Amino acid sequence: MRRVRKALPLLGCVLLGCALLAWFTPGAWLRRDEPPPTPPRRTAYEPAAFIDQAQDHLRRYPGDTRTWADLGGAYLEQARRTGDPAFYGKAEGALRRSLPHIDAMIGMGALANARHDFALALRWGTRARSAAPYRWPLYAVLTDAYVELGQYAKADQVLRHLLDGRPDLVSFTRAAHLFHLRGQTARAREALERARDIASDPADYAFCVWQLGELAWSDGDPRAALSAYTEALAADPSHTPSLAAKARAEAALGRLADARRDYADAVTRSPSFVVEYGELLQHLGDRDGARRLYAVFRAQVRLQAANGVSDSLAVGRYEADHGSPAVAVRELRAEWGRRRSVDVADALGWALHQAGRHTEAARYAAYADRLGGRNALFAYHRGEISRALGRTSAAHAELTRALSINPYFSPDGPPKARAELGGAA
Amino acid sequence: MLNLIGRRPWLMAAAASTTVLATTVLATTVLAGAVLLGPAMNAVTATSHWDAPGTFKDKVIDASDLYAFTSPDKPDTVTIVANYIPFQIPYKPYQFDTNVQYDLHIDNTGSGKAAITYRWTFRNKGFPVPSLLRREHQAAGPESLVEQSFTLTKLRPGRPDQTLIRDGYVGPSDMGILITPGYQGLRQKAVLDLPGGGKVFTGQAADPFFSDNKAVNLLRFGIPFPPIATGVPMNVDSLAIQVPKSELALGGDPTANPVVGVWTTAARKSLNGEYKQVSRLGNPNFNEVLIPFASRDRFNGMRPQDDAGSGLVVESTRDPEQARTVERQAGVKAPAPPRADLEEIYLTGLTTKRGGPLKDDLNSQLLNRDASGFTSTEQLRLNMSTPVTAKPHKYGYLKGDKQGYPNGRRLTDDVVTVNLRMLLGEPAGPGAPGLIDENNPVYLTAPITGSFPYVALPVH
Repeated sequence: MRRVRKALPLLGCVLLGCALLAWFTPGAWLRRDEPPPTPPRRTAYEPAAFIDQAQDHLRRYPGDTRTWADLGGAYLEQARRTGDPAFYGKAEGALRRSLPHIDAMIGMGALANARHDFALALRWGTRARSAAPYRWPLYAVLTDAYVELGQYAKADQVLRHLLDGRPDLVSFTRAAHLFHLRGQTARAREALERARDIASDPADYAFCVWQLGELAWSDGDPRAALSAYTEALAADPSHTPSLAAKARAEAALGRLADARRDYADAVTRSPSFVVEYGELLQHLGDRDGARRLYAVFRAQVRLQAANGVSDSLAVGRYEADHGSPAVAVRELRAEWGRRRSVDVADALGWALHQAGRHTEAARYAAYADRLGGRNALFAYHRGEISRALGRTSAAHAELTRALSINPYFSPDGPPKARAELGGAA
Repeated sequence: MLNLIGRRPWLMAAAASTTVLATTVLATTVLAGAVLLGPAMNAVTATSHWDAPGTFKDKVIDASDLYAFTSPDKPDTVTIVANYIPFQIPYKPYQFDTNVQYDLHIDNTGSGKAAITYRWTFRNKGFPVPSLLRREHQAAGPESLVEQSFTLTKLRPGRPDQTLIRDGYVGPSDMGILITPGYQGLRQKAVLDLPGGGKVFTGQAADPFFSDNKAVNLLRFGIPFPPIATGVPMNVDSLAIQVPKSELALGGDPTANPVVGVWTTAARKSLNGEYKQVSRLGNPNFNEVLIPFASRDRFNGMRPQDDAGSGLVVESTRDPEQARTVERQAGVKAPAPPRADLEEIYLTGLTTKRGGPLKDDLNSQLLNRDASGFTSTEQLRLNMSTPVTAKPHKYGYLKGDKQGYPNGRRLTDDVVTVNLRMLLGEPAGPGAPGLIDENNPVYLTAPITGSFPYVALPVH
């Protein structure tokens, strides 16, 4: 018994260490104490490994449409995980060889969603639904498309169908997203916890925990958020969104050296986060550093266009704050013509405000709040627009609301809001 | 979408193992150092939308195999084993889903409605997995780190639910001598007596599945493949029960009503609190082979009592797509549809009472004296009165071993080869018996044992 007690601290170390090093590294559990496993062991699902196997297999059996569909799906997952859009072209090639296989249709829909062609995604999803109404992943494509198109009632409808047919990680994460958009934080958290508990793959687990962190963050709790991001990274060290989010939380907590280090690491892995890193540097007075990062963003937009990806929302947001508000308005008006999501409404409202068209801006800012979400940035934008229109008490209320939801919603915004509230008081 | 391999990832097994780091390596080698250089930089995907996984591996509700047989050492009892969470890597912890009802259903009338359901539900006692990273353990002994407990409930229509086991011990994942010392003892601890006779075992075991790889690839994927016979060097979690035949038989009379049908389902709690059936398994391979790909998700959510009216189950069995694929790939002939033989094998059980081509009163509930309300449903049917074969044949009924699959399923039946041969026309016609060499050595990874729960200790 004493030996067992003595061994307990050691056990704890072994468990924690192994959890990091071995849990998510197939076949290496307790290697020191156990005989090495004999090959071949099957591993946790890895798209890169699967792609190799599937390519091998397809060289021998090029007519196997199901494997072509699976290969397309694996390329899509690689694009999602690495952020490299070169996989989109490969995905499309594989999926097209597989059509009209049902999973190829679903894959084409997921690809269109990833490329921000949500209307096309909707068409593929609808086509898949008539071909195989019980193939559940198609409803995830439809839900995502409807959400991004701003058709929230339809998103609810297909998601409910998915939750009834297949309650799992795919449907729970989407439910959480819709709850969050509506400001139902507790329900969003519950759905994400359910999703996290059934995640069988480190990347999926990291995704769920990262989303839990995002919930805490947008609720104004950077400490809880930071610990979630850290946990996500422990599960999947390659989960870059968690790394960037960790940097953001560190900055909020005043740990600027950590924040810079993690942001620098994150943008090396994926340039998606250059604008928010630039905004932090700008806030800290490093204008040259910020300028360099913004240049990276602009270069990235051009490269994306070459890969058939256009992200007018990101471009519009960037131009409104750091480039030309007129360009932002043009981009976002075009986007608004394509889809009427609350995100696009907020961005367009803000761009119009930056371009000096406050009355019009107010309409879009109001639209952005129509789901009742608790979004501090939206509230801040609305407050600023009200202020520009001379609606002092509305501005006061919105800015107060922004700070009460999340006092860290951006590097520059909260101090400005506080100053304005101080001036108004 | 990503599930090329389905329940039996042979292709994956054949390929080299990989590393979790591959993704990182790819991303960093492409981008490292280049981020501020503009033109040399790789582009990234659009990120201003929310991008969640579209599919994932839901192993915890995945029933890989179902067995039902007269217990060879206790012939007045029947043993049923349902294996879940397949392809467990040794030394890694696996647990049942605490939001899932794992059910074994028994139909003794042939109506497709369960007369008896044994339901397992689970609670975490020590660490929920994978939470080693996030909670303090409150453990008594080291093995309780990964411990769960289960409740076993017996449900019968029109009667109150009966809790057979409360807070029962679940045989944990074998994590090696440091965490789960004396594993043999933990296995023993997980074999519990049931009130009114019988036993239950819940916990990790070596996966008893084995078959001929050529048969697997032909049957499942329509792909000719070098014949390699193999077992699965991995573990599963078993739900096993051994009960007196009188408990399962209609009217408690296994002599007059010897046939029962068995299937297992898993139902997960959705966000509104309702449990939704997400997987179903009766006959091995039925969903993957006889149901068309696009409808497999649907079959997983269906109740047997709805099979006949579904427009799916009977129709797909009569005219299986996969038969044509195998014909093409292997250069053999399968009987022309409609396949009354397959309908009899999978949907009614063998009987002379329906005019089917297989003239043998073997394993249909129509043989039960008191049965009524019979309809075509897919279930694994066992005639409990068939005597135990002294020397079981791996091809079971096809080789005149009447106690073997498809009359129930024993742990030693090579069901994939049997299913392939039945798809090609046996035993109603000549079929293509030479397609798979009967002398290929096929073996279990770990030998089954002579007494309940029969499944071997987890493999390392």
